[in-house]
Amino acid sequence: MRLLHTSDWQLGMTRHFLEGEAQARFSEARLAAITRLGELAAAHDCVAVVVAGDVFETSQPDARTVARALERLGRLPCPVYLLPGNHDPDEPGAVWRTRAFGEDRPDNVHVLDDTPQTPVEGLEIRGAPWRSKHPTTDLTVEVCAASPDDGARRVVVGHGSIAEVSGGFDAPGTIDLQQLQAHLDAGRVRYVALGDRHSCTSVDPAGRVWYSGAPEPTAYTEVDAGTALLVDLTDATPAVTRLAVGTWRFHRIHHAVHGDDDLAALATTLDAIEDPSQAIVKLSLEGTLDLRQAARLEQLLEERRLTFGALEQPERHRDVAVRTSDADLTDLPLRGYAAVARDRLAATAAGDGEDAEVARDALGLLLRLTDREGR
Amino acid sequence: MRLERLSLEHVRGLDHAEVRFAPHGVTVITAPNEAGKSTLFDALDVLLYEKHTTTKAHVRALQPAGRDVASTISATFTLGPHRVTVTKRFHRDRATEVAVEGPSPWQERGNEAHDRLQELLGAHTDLALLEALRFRQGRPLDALTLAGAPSIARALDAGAGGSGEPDDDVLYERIVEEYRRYHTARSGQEAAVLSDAAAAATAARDEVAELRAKEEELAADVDRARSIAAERRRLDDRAAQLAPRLAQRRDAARQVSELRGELATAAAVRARADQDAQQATAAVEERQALIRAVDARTDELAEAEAVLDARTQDRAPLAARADELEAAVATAGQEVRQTRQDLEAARTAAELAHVRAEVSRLADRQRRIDEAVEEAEAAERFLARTAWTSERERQLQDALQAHRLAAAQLDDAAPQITVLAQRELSVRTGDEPHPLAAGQRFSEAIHADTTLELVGIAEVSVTAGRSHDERTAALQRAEAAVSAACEELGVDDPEAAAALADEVRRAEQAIERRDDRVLRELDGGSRDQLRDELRGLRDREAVLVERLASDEPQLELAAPPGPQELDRLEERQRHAAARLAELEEELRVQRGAVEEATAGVVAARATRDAAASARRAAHDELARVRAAVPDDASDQRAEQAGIAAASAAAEVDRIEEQLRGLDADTVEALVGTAEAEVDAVEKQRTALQTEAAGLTARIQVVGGQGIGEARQAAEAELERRERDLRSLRRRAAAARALKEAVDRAREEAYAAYRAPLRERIVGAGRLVFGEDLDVELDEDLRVVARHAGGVWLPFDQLSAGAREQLAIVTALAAADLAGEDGVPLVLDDTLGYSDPDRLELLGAVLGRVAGPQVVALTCVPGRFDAIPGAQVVRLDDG
Repeated sequence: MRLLHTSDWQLGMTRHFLEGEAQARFSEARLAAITRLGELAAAHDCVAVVVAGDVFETSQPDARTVARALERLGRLPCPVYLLPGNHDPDEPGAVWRTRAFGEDRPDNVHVLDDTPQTPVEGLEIRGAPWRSKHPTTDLTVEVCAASPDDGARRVVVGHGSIAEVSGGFDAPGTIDLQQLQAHLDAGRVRYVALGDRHSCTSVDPAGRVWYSGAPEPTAYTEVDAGTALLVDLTDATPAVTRLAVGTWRFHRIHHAVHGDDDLAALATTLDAIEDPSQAIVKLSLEGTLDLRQAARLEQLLEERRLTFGALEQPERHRDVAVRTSDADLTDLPLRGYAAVARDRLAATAAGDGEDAEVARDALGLLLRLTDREGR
Repeated sequence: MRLERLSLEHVRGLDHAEVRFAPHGVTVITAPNEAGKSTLFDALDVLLYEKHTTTKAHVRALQPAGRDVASTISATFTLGPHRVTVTKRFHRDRATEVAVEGPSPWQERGNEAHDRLQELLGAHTDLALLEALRFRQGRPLDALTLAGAPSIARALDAGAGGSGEPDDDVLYERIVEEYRRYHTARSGQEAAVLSDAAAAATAARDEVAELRAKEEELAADVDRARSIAAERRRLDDRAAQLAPRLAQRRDAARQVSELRGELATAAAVRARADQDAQQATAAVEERQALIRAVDARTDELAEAEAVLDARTQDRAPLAARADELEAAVATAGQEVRQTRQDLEAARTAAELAHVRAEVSRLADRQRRIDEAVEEAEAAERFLARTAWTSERERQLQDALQAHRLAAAQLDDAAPQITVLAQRELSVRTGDEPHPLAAGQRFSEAIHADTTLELVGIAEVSVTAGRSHDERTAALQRAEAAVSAACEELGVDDPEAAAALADEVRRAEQAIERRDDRVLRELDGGSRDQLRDELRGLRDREAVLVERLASDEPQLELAAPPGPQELDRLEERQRHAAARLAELEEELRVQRGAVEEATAGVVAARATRDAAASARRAAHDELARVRAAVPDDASDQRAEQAGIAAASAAAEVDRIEEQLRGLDADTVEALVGTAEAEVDAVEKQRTALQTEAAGLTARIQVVGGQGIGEARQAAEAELERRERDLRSLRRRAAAARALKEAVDRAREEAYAAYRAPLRERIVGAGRLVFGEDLDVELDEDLRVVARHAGGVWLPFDQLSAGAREQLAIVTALAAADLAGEDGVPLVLDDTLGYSDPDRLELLGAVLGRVAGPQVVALTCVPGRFDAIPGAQVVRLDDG
């Protein structure tokens, strides 16, 4: 008896670094993940899919986002149990309570509340839904505690951080791992399906408590996103298998740029990224470049920006010093007034502050305009 | 390029001409007009640029008119280090020959030679400057344009140390283009691309703010909904707590309420007992009151009867007096009537007397009138009848006169008897006696025998004498005439005649007087009026007589009664009337008194009747009450009812004591409090329910609008917009900084660049325009303004002569600046605008020229005489 454990779809998420169609593709990929999860559920003969919170990016997603999600959910081969999480708590005004959601919700789609669900004989699913953005109690542990210690095949679906995993904070609503384990040991629960952490993570040494990870990554900080979990509950101890689902990748690239060789290396690094149209790259560069090299860096990034899903870079080369070398200046084959202007800008650029930056930019522009002349 | 020699054969009108140019300084070529001096440089152009094979019109035009001969042009000049000799023949036997001496000499013929010449020209000649320094006849007086002359640019660049490359301008245009992407051309403000980006960022920011506000509103609604839910739960709990307390208090209240019921019943019983007691007591009291009433009514009746008697007695004398007065009034009335009747009768009688007097008066007048009329009528009849006329009268008078004369005459002659009476006696002569008193005399003449009788005494006869006869005869005749006249008059004697005459006169007078009399009697009226009046009076008289007859006056009237009598009667009548009025007033007053007394009697009778009736009623009532309940039974009943009332009051006191023991008011107040509390809770629940419903609906609506995702999208959009804007601004700042730096450097470079040319122009031109000459050059090296005589003037506003001179000075400066790269300055019949003084000064300027080659062509002898050291060539010299 298997079920598919997933979470943190965050449908309707927008990313400022995604321009135009990239955002559309990114959004579409998140919806497409539902279909892929359905295919995996079918392939692995799952009896249910549980989504452990944050189905939507916000409590008030766009109607189109909801309609498209429900349309895809309705095609899943088995019942789907959606848990309201911290992003989309089940509070007044939330998507779960809208008329559109109520009317369009397919029969196989269920929103977890206090009622235990039984998708098939011998499997009980209990949810610990969020009812506000700031719960004051440990919802998941409460649900576990309320379950009978009958050793039944019971899955609790919860959402939230665990201090041991996310760091030592002790905010209200944080899930207490030890209590969870106690309830697992007591036979009240057999598996705890968690959401909130986008990286796929096993929390319990016995493998009974898992974060499934988000099916599509959402941030650079995620270690192991783009996953879902196949949970086999046949035996008393669940057997959990990690499945790859995601198509997009976030890359954080740090690169030193100290000259032409480094620029070439950076180009190579970027070009090595697979499927750049679904790659979101954040560059952090450091080093010192002369004007011409800086211009070349700009050009290098400009070219790749067209192919990458997103290519973020610091706006002002804050970590890349642009120096105006003598070579820069003399290399610019300028005479007469142009040369005089160049020299003056160079003098300003050698200083600090806003004027210097503007002067460096002006020199860069002069370089570009001069280069256009093919010299 | 430096010209050395130019020769022509069979070119236009010139069969042969050759000019040798001074290598430096001025060469003046003079020729008469139309002698072909312009042909020289046209031919030089053709030689330099046209192939000998050409058939171009302007080349064909060089062939002398009507002569099929070859035109040969040949020139020697230097191009940089090269000395070049070119000869070309056109039209016939066409040929080109070029010989170049210098660093790499060569010699060539034909078109190849031409092509190589072109290369050489391109490499060593500033063709633009060549064109610029060619002052043709009739050239417009524009400022000289030197911008396209590379040799000038090179010279200036060399001076300014710049690149001198034309690409610099291309770069500048790109810089400007880049600048204009972000800035407006005119004011340098942000261009649309920037302001649009800023507007987009602002719009995105607004969008985010709006959506965040919406989210916050929704969150506030959700919070409120939560707190309402909590409050409702609290209220539910509170309601649950309040319910049993309310029930308990209601039980206590119910007990109180029951007791209050008992109390009410007891109170009702007591009320009834009290009522019975009161009624019984009242019955006793009522009976005693009835007895007292009967007594009182009896007393009242007696009193009323006494009053009635008294009033009846009081009224009797008043009534008697009234009767007396009535009788007196009747008598007085009779008196009044009688006196009035008497007065009337007296008045009638008085009037009758008056009428009668009037009738009498009027009748007299009537009669007098009638008499006058009758008298007049009788007179008229007499006059109609009488024979008297005035003629006859006069005849008689005349006859009498004559008689008297005759008589007198007789008398005179006749004796006179005179009788003197001694005593009283009578004398008669004839028939008639004449009495005489004693002492009286009687005299008479005796005409005839006469007897005189003294009556009773004596008779005396007297006889007449004879002479007397004649006179007597005359007298007789006179007497006959008198008799005849009398006869005529129908009378017997003159006395009758006199009487007749009197009668006639009276008749005439009567007739005359008739009208006077009638009118006097009528006194303005007519006889008819008089008659009518008289008739009216007589009628009135008849009436009055009748009235008087019919009345029955009580008193004897002294007819007719005088005014005094009438006054007396009137006084009597007034007195009677006054008496009557007095009596009537007294009677009226008396009658009032009687009526009042009568009313008093009536009232007293009514009072008496009422008292009698009341006494009867009281008596009947007492009798009825006594018949129903005897006096003893009534007293007994009152006593029993009093005992029952006391018993009922004791019961009420007992229950009230019990209620006080239960603290009934507090119990009821507490029920009220509990109920109010429950009500309040219920109201809050209802209010919260209503608010919750509203909130739920609003949350439902807003929650379904997808604002969360929209806000995130808007934030992303804002992030992008702001990034775009920052990027654009950074680029704009770079473009501005670059352009500003370049503009500044460029301006400085241009200033430096133009300086040598300007200095040369000023240096050369000072001689012409004065020591303070200065010029302003634009980017195209054109003179745009001149300073002279302390005044800056735009080039366009200079005089034609000044413009021409300035252009030549500029050209000279350019030629000088170009140095070895230079070309000849050619002045073809110029300076036509300059006055002799200026011309002389300009000549001095040209004369100073050391480096450049200047060629001046003129058809005006003497125009360039002032140029010192000029080489002069006369074209017609050959």
